[in-house]
Amino acid sequence: MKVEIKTTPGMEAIPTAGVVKINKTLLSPGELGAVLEVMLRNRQGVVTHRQVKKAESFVGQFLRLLFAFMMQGNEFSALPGLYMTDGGIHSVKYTVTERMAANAPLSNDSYGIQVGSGSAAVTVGDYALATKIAHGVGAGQLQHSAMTFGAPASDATLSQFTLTRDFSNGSGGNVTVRETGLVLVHKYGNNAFAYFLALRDVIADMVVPNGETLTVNYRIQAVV
Amino acid sequence: MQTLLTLRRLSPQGHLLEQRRQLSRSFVRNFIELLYVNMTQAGVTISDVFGQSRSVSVGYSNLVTAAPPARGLGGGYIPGDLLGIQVGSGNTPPTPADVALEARIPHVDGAIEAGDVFKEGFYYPSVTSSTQLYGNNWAAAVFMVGQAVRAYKARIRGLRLGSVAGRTLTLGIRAVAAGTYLPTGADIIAGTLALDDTITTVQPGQWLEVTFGGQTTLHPGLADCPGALYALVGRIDGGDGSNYLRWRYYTSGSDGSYTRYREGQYTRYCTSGNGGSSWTDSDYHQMEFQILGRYPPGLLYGGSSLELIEEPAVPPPDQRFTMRRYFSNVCGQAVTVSEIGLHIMAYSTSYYPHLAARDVLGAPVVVNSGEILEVIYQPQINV
Repeated sequence: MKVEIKTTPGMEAIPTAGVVKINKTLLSPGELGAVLEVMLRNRQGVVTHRQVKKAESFVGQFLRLLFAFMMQGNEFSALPGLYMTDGGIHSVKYTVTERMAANAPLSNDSYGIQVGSGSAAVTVGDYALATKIAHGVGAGQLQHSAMTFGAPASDATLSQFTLTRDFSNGSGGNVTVRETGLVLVHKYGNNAFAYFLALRDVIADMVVPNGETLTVNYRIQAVV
Repeated sequence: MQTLLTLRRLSPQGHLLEQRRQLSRSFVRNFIELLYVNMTQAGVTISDVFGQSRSVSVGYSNLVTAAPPARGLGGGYIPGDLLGIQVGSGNTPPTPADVALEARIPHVDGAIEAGDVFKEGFYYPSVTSSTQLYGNNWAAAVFMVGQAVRAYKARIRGLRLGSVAGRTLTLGIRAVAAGTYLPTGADIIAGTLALDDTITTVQPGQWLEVTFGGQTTLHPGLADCPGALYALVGRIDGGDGSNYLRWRYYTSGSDGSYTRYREGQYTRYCTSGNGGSSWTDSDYHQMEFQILGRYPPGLLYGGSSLELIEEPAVPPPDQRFTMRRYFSNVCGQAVTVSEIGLHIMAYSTSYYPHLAARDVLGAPVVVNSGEILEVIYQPQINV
């Protein structure tokens, strides 16, 4: 039986059997960054669409977080340009352990990998997705799985670990994803959280039909 | 994110003599592992810069790289020279698996002496206790140095019981087995002293000195890290229970009542009844000894600072921040720098330094006596 797999420009056609593993980097020597992989699986779990690209870059909020924790800063309320995902300014402390966590649980769309429908170009000052897709089964929503992680590994030139999240469509209609991001949480007290965007990417339209699942992998890499 | 590495060699007056600039190749696997710990809140097992395996978990000061100058405590836990920007003389290209500089240049804050001077040791004149050295009965003083020392000679404070004529005292520096306070392996360097019965039998004894057959550099470190502890092992050939050399010690606990030179520490007293094949240790006795030597070639580590995020008016990059450290050559001879690194803190049972980045220079930089080397790391992003 002949099987046709639809593709869009810049994408690779996926065989009907198995999952294609990525064992390469798109980064240059000396770079610290990420490779983004977005896969759509049908109801049978078969990957039907896939995009792979070098992530745009860490945005400025990540650089500020890195600076604050390398400095062992106690309070960085005055750190210029450090904005939460809601646009507010918040201090960060080094005296907490959940300083830049991405381990969002099931259904929590405030941090971890996020997806959205916005298509505005990425800028270094981005502090949130343009139009975040919320968790849920309502129109335009996707159900967010818990974040999972692949342990660090390395070869002769590359070190990496992987962050993964599944987004399942139970909304009854199509949901189009045009952007992805990674948000880190800074927990500074009991039930007190600040969310900071670390990565944002704009992708070619990925239509997620009802009943299908979008998997987003961010592979954080360093190349020597 | 890429990192720009800049080296500037300055005259004693601060004039720019030479500048090098290259893209860093550097972030190693340890840095990826520490990002993983922060993002997942899970632990990892990685090696610190001394090669000791550590089970790292989330900690308040994970990722800290800012450091005070010299031996001031960085982050409250680690001597400043072991944190932040580092320099070395290795030239093997970096790999993700690197856990340390290939040949780290030590912190040195003085000119290399023309002759041997007292560098480390302990002496408490009013005590009278001692251990016996004869035949297979050996003893060792386990210690740490506070700064890098090029060891040339060693002394122990001793006296004799009976006759030691015709015997030979051997003092050797040995490594200490990881995770223990026990001497291990053969002498790294050693020296001998012919004994006779002119050696006093009266307290407080006398200094008995050997000159080592070669030299080695003793490096400061952290108490439970490999390579930070050294053992001065003493023994004589022959003798018996009525004719032996007495090595004096101070009987106390492991508190700070002993005399230290700089930030060095005396940590243990060890004995062996089988000629060094096995040892037992105790912190109850503090052996009286001295290490004499000189500074090794090295550089004086200034503070390792971070400067706030900047957004250049004319990109690229879009944003960057700057890490900077000055290294002054006060040792009196030229020092060649060919590798650069970055140490950061990570928490396991305590905080230890871990390698985050390592680079080998396209061409070495020779820092002459009196000159200053400025090393700048600038992580930067372009969206």
